[in-house]
This record gives sequence, C-alpha cells and structure tokens, in this order.
Amino acid sequence: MRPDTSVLITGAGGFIGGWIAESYHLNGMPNVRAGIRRWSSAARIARYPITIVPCDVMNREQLDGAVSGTDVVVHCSVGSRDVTVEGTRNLLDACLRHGVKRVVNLSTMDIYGGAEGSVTEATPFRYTGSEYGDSKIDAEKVCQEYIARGLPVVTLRPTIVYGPYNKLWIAKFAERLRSGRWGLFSEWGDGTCNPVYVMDLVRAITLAIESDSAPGEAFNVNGGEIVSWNEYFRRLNAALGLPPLRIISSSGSRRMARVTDPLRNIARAALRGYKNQLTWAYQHSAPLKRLMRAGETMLKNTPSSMELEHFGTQVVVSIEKAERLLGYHPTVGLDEGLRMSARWLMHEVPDFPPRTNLNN
Amino acid sequence: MSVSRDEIPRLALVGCGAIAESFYLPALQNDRALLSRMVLVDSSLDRARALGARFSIGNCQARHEAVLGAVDGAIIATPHHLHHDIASDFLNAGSHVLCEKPLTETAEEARDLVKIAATRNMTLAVNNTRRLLPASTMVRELLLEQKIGRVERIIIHEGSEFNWPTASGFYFDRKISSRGVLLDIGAHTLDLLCWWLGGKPQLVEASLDACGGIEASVELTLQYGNTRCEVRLSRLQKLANKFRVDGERGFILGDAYDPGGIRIGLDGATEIEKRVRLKADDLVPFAEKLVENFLASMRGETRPLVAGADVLDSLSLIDEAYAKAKRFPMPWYEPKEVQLHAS
Repeated sequence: MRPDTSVLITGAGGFIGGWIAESYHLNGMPNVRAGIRRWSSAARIARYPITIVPCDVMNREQLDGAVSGTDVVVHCSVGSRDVTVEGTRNLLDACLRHGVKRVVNLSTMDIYGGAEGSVTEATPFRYTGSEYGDSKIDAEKVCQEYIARGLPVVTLRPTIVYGPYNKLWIAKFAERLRSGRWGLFSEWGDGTCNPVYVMDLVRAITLAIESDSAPGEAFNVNGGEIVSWNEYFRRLNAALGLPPLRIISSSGSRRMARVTDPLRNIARAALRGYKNQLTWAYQHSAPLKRLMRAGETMLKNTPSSMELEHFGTQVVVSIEKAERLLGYHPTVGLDEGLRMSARWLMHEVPDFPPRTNLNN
Repeated sequence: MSVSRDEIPRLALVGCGAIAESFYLPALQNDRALLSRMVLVDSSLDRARALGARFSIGNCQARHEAVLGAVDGAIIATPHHLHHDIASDFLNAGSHVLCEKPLTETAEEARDLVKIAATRNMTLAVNNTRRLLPASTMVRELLLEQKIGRVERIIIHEGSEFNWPTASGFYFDRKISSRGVLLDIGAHTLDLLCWWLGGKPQLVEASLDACGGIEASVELTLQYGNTRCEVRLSRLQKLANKFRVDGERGFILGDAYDPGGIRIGLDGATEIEKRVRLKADDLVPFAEKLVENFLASMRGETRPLVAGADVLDSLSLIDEAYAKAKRFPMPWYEPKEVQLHAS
C-alpha cells in the first residue's frame, strides 16, 4: 500500500479499529481517517495526531463526509442488528457513490454458527439466534449485493482476536484468573481456541487491501498456533505471573455452571425489572452493597453453561485460502502475544497484579 | 459590586451542554422567579432553545457578547478552552462569575481572572464539586485534627473508560487543546490533594501516554514535606477508583464514586465507616448548594465555597506536570510493524 493512500476506518474507537488506525499512522501513512460514532470512544486514538471524523454508519450525511476522497475503507463498526446490517449497506452505498477502490469488511468466525471440525470459507453460514453472529451473516450478504454491483469488497473472518487494549479475551479473562475462581475445566476446556494476535489481523487487512485476487472473496484469519481453551487460560495466567491454576473436574465444572445459571437469570431479570430500586439499595445500604458486589464477582468469575459448551467445542478455522491467495502468514506466537497483552494490562491497570496496598 | 437582596438577580448560563442540563438547571428549576429572568447562551441556538423550553426560560442567545453588561452573574459551563475569555469578558463587564472546573487551562490564565475579579471587586467562584462532597470534607477535617498522625503517603487511582456524553468532541480536538485526562480529572484530584495537604506538593515525576496527541493515561509522583503522593489517572481503563491516606497512626480509605463516606483504620482499633446520608443519588443537591452560595457571594454575604484563588495551586501543579512529563514506556507496541519511535 502506498504511504499516501487515504484510508477510512469505521469503528476506529474499538479494539481492532484502534489498532488499524494506530499502526497505519505509526507506519507513516498521513492520510488515515479514524471514523467514530461517539466522541466518547475517541480517547485511545486521540493520543496520536490522527484525523478523527464523525462516522455513524446510520447517518448518510456523515458517511458522505467521511467516505469522500477515500481510496480504501476498512469497515470495523458493529452494533445492534440494524447498525451491523443496514449500517453496512449505508456505508457500501456511500463507497459506491464515491468510487472507493477497496473495501475490507470485518466479519467473524461466528458466521459458521458453532460449526465443529475443520472450518473453511466453504463451510455454510449458520444462523444460531445470536444477534452478533446472525447480523454479521446478513452484513456479508449485503456485501455480496455490492460486489455484484462492482464494488471491490473483501471480507475477512477473524477468529479470537486478542492483544493489548482487548477487553474480552484479555482484560475480562485476566480478572477471572485473578479472582481465584477460574481454573482448567478438564474436558470442558479441551475444545479449540483459535487465537489470532491483533497485529496479525492488521497484517491480513493490509494484504486484503493490496491483493489483486482479493476482491469479491472472503478469508478466514486465524493465528499460527491453535491451542485448547485450557491451554489459553494456562498461558495467559502464566503471562500475568499468577499462581498455577487449579484443575476443576469435569463434573465440578458442570456443577459450577449449573448452580450459577439460574442465579444469572434471576440477576438479569431483577436488573430488567427493578434497576432503580437495586441501584438505590446499592447506594444506601453497606451490607446490601457488599452482598451485591460479592454476587456480581462470583457470577462474573464462574463460567456459564453456554461458555462451557463453547470452551469444549472442537473447531479449527483454516487459513489455507488466505495463505494461498493473500500470502498471509501469522507471525506472532501465542506466548509473545500474551506477553505483550499482559505487559499492557499490568501497566494500564496497575492494581492488577497489585503494586500497592491500595485495595486493603 | 454587590447585588441587592431585594432584587432577583439576572443570571446567564453560558454553555448548554451536559453539565448545564444535568447539574445546573435541575438545581435551579424550583426557583421560578430566577429562571424567568435567566438567559441561556449556546453557540447552538437550537440547543439553548430546547433546554429553554424544558426549563421555561425564554431568553436564549447564541453569543455571550449579547448579554455582557446585562446580567448580574454568569455561570460558565462551556468547553474548558473558552473559560478564560468568557469569564474575563463577564468580569470586565461587571458580572460575577461561577465557572465550571477547570477554571482555566493554565495557571497563568487563572491568575489573570483572579486579578480581574479582585480589581473589579467581583465574585469569581469555581465548581470544584469534589470539595463539597462529605467524603472529601471528612478527610480534610481528619487531617486537620491529625487523627491518623503525620501523613506519610497518599495514593489516588482514578480512571474509567471515557463516557462523558460530549456532543462537540472538544475533549479530543488538538486544535482546541492538547490537554487531556491530567487537566480534566486532575483538576479534581490534584485540587483535592492540595486542599487536603494545605499546600502545593512538589512534582517529583510525571509520565503520560500522549504520542503527539492528547494523553489518556497519566502517572504522577509528588512530595509534600514527608508525604509521598502517587496519582494515577486514566480515560482508557477502569482503575481502582480509590484513595488512601496513610498516616503514622492509621489510614483513611475512600471511593472516588462514593461521595457520602470513608473508612478509617486507627492502629489497635477496629476499622470504622464514617458516612452521612445523602439527599439524592445524584449531585444536584451540591449544585443547589453551590448556586445558593454563588448568589449569596454576589450579594456580598459570604465568600465562595471554592474561589478562583483556591485552585491556583492545582492548576500550577498541572502546568508543571505537562511541562516535565515524559512518555511512559509502552512495550506492548513491540512488533516491528508498530513501533512508537516511528511516530
């Protein structure tokens, strides 16, 4: 990609969009535009002199302003079903009108809907009722419509994307590991985790922009090291310098989830129906506050049945097509990726692990 | 120049953003007489009119210049970088001023406002709300009474993902200001620190994460006599959101988001909680107190709860920290594709 290529990144306030904007900027591309829906998501990218543009994919006027004069659009924004599907349509419409030369649409492995075994790009879409996965399928279908109309769209389907600034696979799991309630869940954790370091994904995006054979195609993007979920937890735990994880038996893991599932449902229902009353109680009664905090911590740090199902699923996402057509080869091993993620987390959230006695 | 007790003062509320809507106007909504004479000012006249319709205020203006000399007092709730110029315009025009925190972006600007207010005998008050919160005043009183003995260390960690519903995005516009979390949150935390200690600590070390833009995370080490202070602020991550004051005979522990109480641990005694029951879950009662005090100050009956001169120490400290701050190491930008030294 030429350094003067102008690139718009939608959803640049998010984890992946932020990394794309930062890495392109740091690699000397002056025409990077970070598209955001809400200003409140701009704190991370605003640390760099990157041009930030309002880019709500549901706002056609904003889209016109953001897309105009852009060579390449990397579409990372995601939200409700409407935002993911109709927002993609609005964006592609603007790209078509403004003659954008390449669009990279960030999809997900979730479009395979919990498929098992080896998954290739030929594995059919499967709706599961999950808003995220189902709406990503429909967004891909929208992309197909625009490909048919001549827009050069490439779709990437990343797996478990982790790295510094990641809330889900790093920060949340780090909190779980630190809690002492997490562990290795015997065969419930022996399913496959397909981790890809965020910079490997950024590299794949660059290749999708550069490759002549990419338009109209979809590619899986996985990391180079496929491990079990138990192994992922063990290595993240080690990177964080925490004591070894306990092994929770298969029946113990299942029991843990079965006991807490009804509590999760009750908590969700209570929050839906009595949020104001619960907030009041939390703020005005110290014993209730302690009880609610303890309950929340316990539920957060215990896997649900749905999660155990996920951690137990054997699925390997093949990147053969991306290797063959894009020349994509992941370069960051899991240990290296987790080491950098842990260094980020320990610096940015210094109470983890504790460096002071602040939490006495 | 005082306002007579017999007349209803005429106030301008300049800036109709989130703080005007959720803090000042709810605090004033029961004073119909005051609202009837009030002027709302916002560069977005539509925004001013929308708030005016909700709070029965008919007089809306797009520019503060339109009301200079026509109001007794002005509440300034605009983006930070406008505070100095707008406040000085009102003070010079003979209006008292209550300004949102930070009073100004730099200590020099603040000193200028303090000077104008003194010269013209006008009130210059600042909304450094934290000083009004019971938890903060309890700490100050305990330290004044030396309940935990000589203070050895103060730690403040405050941070969460930035979620202020800013409509203009001025917080992230480098053309407007290159100052981030250190000014925005530091105006609260460093002000409290100076207030609790009774003076301005020396800056030992400052580091932040701006790479040619606006910092989102900052670390400060400060020293005040024998007291070491460690401050950590973030707009990116949820931190402990706690403060702790360690003394030779015990400690005080507080939660940044719990304005009603603190915990006190004295050596040899059971840790206790000191708490007052708050009138409401939000900060509106403190806005009522603040505005009431401002009106009384305008009449010459009292001094401001927090006067402009009171925040000079913290603003000077912020200036020093920006001047001396280094970028802290970010080794997670290690892969050759993303190296910070390339910036």
